[in-house]
Amino acid sequence: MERAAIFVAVMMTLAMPGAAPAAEAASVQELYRLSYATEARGDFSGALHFMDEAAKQGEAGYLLHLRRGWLLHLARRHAESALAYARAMEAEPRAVEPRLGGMLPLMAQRRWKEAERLGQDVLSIAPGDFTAQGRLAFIQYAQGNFAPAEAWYRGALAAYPGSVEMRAGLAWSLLKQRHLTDARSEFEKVLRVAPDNPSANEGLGQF
Amino acid sequence: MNTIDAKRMKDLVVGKDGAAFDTKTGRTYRLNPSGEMALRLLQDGLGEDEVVGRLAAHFAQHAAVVAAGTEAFVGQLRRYLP
Repeated sequence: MERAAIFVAVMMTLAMPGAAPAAEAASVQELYRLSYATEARGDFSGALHFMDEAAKQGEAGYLLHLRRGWLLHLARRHAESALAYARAMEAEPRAVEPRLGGMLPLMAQRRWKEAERLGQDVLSIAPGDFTAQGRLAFIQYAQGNFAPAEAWYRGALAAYPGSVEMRAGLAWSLLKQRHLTDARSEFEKVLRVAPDNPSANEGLGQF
Repeated sequence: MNTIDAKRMKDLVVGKDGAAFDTKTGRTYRLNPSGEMALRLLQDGLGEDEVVGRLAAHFAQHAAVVAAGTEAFVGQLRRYLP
């Protein structure tokens, strides 16, 4: 009974973000476990706290920075997130995941040019990467550059022809360029398999 | 109308021409002008009734028409933004 009470008390101390570290520090392995469990509960600041504790215990390098980048992004601390992802890229210069991850906080801040550079980096490492092409398409579209957006959407669809999201994006890019016949055709392709798709219905309603 | 989480709404970044990006999921959407305005008002923390009032004034539409459209839009947001 007494042992159980002590165990609960220690766990509560560990689970409180911002609380003083337990007298006997948890291992780095345990801090990772706690961080993932806390993230799963939707407490991103708490999950970040455990990674910061791991850093205090000497944890360093790629995975620490990658995970901090992700958690900072989820906690909506986008500028810090971008910096953490940059450190992960320094640790693993050929890695794709910190670049894909790093695009998110940049896009959240509308730092389109920097996000675009990361997307291009991904494609230089992993040509044809679907996620990078999809995001590059959006980045162009969001800036009103509809012809480059069209090209990226076509690239993404070459790899994943079944992506309704990319096809709807292609259709809108064509519509904005007044390529009406092609735009209608793409909207119709979306609606054939997703008749309730709001984006395609809205697009087709403009004809 | 039920309330909607303004913080979650802020995860949607809107670019030109109603292009919207969910920074949590990476999914992209397109908003029409009334949807874009409704989203911005919701992101500012306005309640849905206030949003209806603003939209009705801005687009010179009857409040009942705007209320139906806003309810449908909020329903879509709930469905697409888990």
